[in-house]
Amino acid sequence: MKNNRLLIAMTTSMLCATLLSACGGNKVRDDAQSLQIFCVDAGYRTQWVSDIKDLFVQEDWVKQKYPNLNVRIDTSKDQTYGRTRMDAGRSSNTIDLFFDMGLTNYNGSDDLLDLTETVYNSSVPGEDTLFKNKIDASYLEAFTFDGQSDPAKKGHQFFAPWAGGMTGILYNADIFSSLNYTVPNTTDELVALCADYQGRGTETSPKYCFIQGNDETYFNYLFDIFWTQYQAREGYLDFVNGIADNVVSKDIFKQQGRMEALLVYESLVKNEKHFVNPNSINQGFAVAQAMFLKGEALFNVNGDWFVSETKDIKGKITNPASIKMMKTPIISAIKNVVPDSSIGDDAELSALVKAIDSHDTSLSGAGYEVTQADYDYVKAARAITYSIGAGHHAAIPSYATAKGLAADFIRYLATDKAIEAYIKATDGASMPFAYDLETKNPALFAKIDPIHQSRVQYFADTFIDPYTLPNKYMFPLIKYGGVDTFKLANGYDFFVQMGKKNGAKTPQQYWDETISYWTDDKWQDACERAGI
Amino acid sequence: MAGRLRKSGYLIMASKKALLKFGAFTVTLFAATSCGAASSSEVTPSVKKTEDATSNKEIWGTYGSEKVVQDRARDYYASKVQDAKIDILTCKGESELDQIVISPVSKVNYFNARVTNLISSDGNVIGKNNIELFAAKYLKIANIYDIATNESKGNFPDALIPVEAIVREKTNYINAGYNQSFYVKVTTPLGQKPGVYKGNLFIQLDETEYKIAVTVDVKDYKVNAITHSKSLFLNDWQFDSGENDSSQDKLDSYNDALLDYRLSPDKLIRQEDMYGHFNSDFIFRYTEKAYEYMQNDNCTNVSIPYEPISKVVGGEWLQTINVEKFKEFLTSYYVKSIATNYNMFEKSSFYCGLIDEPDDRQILEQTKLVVGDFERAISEAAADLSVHGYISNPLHETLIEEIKNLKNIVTCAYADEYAPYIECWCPKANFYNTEEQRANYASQKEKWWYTCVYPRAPYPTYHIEDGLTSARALSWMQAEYDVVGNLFWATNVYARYNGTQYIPIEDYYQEGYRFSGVNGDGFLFYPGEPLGYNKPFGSTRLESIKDGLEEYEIFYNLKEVAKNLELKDDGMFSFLNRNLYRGTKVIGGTAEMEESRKDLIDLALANQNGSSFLITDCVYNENQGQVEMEFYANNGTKIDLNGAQISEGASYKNGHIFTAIQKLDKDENVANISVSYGGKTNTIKHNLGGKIYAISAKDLVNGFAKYDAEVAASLVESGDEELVKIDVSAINNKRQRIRYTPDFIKNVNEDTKTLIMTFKNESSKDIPLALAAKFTNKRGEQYLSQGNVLTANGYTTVTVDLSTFSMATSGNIEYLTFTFGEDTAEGSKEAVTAFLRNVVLAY
Repeated sequence: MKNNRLLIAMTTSMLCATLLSACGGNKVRDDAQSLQIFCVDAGYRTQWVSDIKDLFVQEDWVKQKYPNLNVRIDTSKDQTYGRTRMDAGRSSNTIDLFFDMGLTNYNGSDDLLDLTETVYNSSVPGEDTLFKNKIDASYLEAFTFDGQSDPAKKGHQFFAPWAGGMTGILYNADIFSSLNYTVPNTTDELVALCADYQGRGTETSPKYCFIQGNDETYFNYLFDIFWTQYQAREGYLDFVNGIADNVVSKDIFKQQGRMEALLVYESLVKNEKHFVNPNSINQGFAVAQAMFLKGEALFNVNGDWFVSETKDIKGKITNPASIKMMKTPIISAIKNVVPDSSIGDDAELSALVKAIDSHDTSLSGAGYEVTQADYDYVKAARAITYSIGAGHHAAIPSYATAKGLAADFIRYLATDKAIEAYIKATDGASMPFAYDLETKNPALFAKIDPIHQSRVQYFADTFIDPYTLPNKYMFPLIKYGGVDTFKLANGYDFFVQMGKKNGAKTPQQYWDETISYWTDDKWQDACERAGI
Repeated sequence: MAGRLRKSGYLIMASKKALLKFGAFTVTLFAATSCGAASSSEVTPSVKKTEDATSNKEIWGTYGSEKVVQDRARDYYASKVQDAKIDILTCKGESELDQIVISPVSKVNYFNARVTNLISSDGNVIGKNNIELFAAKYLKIANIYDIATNESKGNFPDALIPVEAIVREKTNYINAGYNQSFYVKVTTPLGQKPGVYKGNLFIQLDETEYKIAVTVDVKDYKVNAITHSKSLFLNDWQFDSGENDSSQDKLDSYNDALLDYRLSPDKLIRQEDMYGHFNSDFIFRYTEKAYEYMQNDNCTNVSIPYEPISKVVGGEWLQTINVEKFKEFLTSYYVKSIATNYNMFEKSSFYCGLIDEPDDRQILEQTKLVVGDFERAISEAAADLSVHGYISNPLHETLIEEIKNLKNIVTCAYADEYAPYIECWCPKANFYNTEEQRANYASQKEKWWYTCVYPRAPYPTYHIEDGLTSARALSWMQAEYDVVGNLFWATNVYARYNGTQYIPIEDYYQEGYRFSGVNGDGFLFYPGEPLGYNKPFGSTRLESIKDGLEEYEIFYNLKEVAKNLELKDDGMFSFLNRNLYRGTKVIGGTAEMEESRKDLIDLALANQNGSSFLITDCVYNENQGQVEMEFYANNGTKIDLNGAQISEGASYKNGHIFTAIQKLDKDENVANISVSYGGKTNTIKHNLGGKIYAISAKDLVNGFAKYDAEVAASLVESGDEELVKIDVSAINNKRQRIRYTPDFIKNVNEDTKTLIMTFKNESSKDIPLALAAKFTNKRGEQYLSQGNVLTANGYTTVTVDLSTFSMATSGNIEYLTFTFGEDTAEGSKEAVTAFLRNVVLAY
């Protein structure tokens, strides 16, 4: 009996191709002056690629270098499409430039063009700066290959970022205003505010503080922030590298910051508090976002892509709420771990955070008096942010026929022009390049959504100097060793398990099961898998 | 060979069917191939001259198991270049291969090869029909995942393709600057007369034919025809993609091929034919097939299939086995066993993919369910057959017991929460590395292990960038640690897994990356159909696996002798394997494997010369700078060590125990043991390792510094010895840790096998001690040794096996740390004083 699986596979491949939508008209030539781009259609949509392409092709230097330039852009909502094309290999993949989210495993591979010299160490077109100097430092760190699978490539870059999304707690500014709420500076203040709001509801007309979707893990993003605020950046990096007290040890699972972050979660999602809208576990993120716009909750943990994702639905809602993003409150437990223990209580911590936000460098002021070390610790905590941008990869196959052209396009992304085009097309989102929109284009700044305004201001704040946490799944111990913050570290698991009405899981249970799971043998195995 | 299942292979021509019988002894001339697009010369050039290969520097020899990367400069292999000859040491009843490498400066447009018969001085012949010629096809490896191999990307040899097939494919050329390996495989029949056989291999390169001497030394030792190791190599993946044939016959050809390598397959009938068709007819067919396979001496394990069904447990749908169908299988096997007077259960086991790697997947509930159903099935079947079976049949009782004790092999390392449910643990090989780890499986009736994507080198693997010594040494470790069974997850994945599904690949002979994060995992075979063969091709890895299993048989025989004499058998392992592996970490390469193998054969020959010679103990006492050996031999045996006769020791049964000590005071220390009995002398000449360097206290006193705790070090006299007194301050809420940067760490390098530190504790309280090191290329410090206790009023030796630290990748040691007291930052620790007596470095 013979079959022909190869034929079936080829047919499948062709079917995949039909899922694409293409703009740019006819089939593009496959040569050095024909650029075939693929962009995944997700939170930030794809208009920005077209808009930047329109600018790119008009540049004099581009016209001179590529007199027969032709660009075609394909998009798809299928988030596996990009990987499928890369997997298909050089014999059938003609895409020269990917803007994708699923190519992580190709990092350092021979299948990708090394961008170190062609992009990072090259200048931004028309500007007196190198690409690598214009990119946010923490992104540069996140996009530098660790060399795990090819030591010869350690320190090189194979991806460039195309999104700098920020995650955090969105809040209903209308409700805040009507109830004279101020943005909480600490997690204790956040909990207190939730209690106050929830208390204003009735049995028939409850007031919920949080609403989320059951198909997203945005809540998980807060965990890493709270944890790192407590443990400091070095503590986070130590954990993901398997180091506790300078030595590779499973004592990493004794890092207290993780427990403290879980305790904050518990204080927010515990069922008996009724802070969380119960529909959160049986509705998708799109419904949750719509309900949030309708005022069904005070907070929604999300990212700045909320703006473009809700653009259409917002137009269908009568009087949609005014939504803003707050700086993530500082974990109150930080006062137990600052070097000199000079922060007495949460009120003092809150006062200190307020001073830091206003760039006040005084060690004593209204409501606080602290040591320099403690001040610095809290200031560093204020800088911690989480971004999904590290998972948004621009990449060029090493066998692409238009490699040079694709590299030029990536470099062009870093130009002020392209940055502004991106901002306009995404209703205010931006890529992680140094660009103070408020200063450089106040008119455009004024037009963008308040969520993006607060993000722009935050990242432009050189006093705070935000630090975007590197994605922990890029580290070998996590990626290859199977280690994570807790044994079951899926953010949705925390949200659901800790919010159950009966049999809710406690932080102590997560802690205990993680400690008992990681036996010496399993730890040794994980380290060996990770090569550390 | 009784009941051999082997089917004849048929060579299929593209346009016509030509029948050529294959068997183990068929004459076959094969040609080599290269990667690349250009084809060889259309016209077969005739040979215009014949030269000796030794006259051509482009032709060279090396170890048969050395992986010569195709696109790597020959200079890289300078230390492994040997004369251009084929030199094989073999026993009777096994096969061995050796290689010749061609590294042309200018392109070779055509090559071919042929071999002559091999003839001994007595006129005995190893015919061409026992000699196969292969050339390697190369896998393109773009990324290295087994970092400890210290390899870099390139085209690695793996597929062994008959030269004839390459010539027919017209890829028999070698690009300039590339390496091409030719392999000569000699299969020596059990009845072959011992002796040195000589002949020639001829390799034609364009118009010149090069003559290469072939020597095969056949030792007078028979490798067991019956295989005693067990295996479960999963053999029903995407072979149909590569073969364009998904028939049962094709699966049979793969299973037959596995048996040739002394390996047992998992599925005997295509799984597509199983699921959904699990009826009495299928059970009958499978039983018949299993019986047939079990008649093959190389088939040692057949897994009984199961039908998956779903059940609701705790509100969740879980998959388990169909108990009734499984009972039917057991009954079918029972009936067949009775009918044929053959115990089918001896070679039976159960492996359930539903609970594969349960701890990694966190499927405790499903494990409980499946194990529960399995145990119910065997217990009900046994009970039922006890009453309704062939009670009066002499085999009946045995079969009932076998059913009750049927093994359920679960791919899982010991874990407390699974312990109540798993009897036959099958951990990954790295979980057998230390004595403590091995203790978890000490009481297991039959030990199994497996490899998969993990572990990685330096643990044994079948990964492409790992050396072939690794694949071969795995079977040596099996012999040492009594791990009878070896499970491997896939032998013919002719596709690539992209994270969600298997997708087709373009070239089955070139694509080595088929599963995430690993090269070579998932396939050991290569499809024959693309090159016109109706059986699969093997690989260098399969040959190494088989070689290891043949050596397992030699160890098996020696262990049986020891068992019958009620003597220990571990001495021979520590004697032979010290330069090859430690625990389950491979530290040696091709040279060490060749040497250890040669010495194993010599040991086996000495054992069977009438003396029953055994190495019952072998202790490396680095502290004393010596190796302490113990032997057993029958009365009338004379044993010499390095020319000096060893006196007979205590009398034991029909012989004596002999003890001997050899100092490790030379750069290379060789134990030359001769065993004479009945006028016959056999010699074992084994490299015991390098010199031992002892560093005394006076050279150890400098280099102590504060880390967390304060420290003061001074040289003191205590009795008649000098010691370094180390005073460590008390400390609160921090580790009681100090830093040590002694001079001697400059001498610790990749060649250093062991670091030994001897401490003295003059107090009346035990002092815990952990030792760590900061390696240059590692971010954090690494523990070298934990859980030590410096016993009160005594000396304690802390031994660190540095050979397993892969310093080629870790870098050198920058400093050491000593952590006294409890190894935690919590709590208070009192001041301690310890004394360092000396340090020994063994190479």
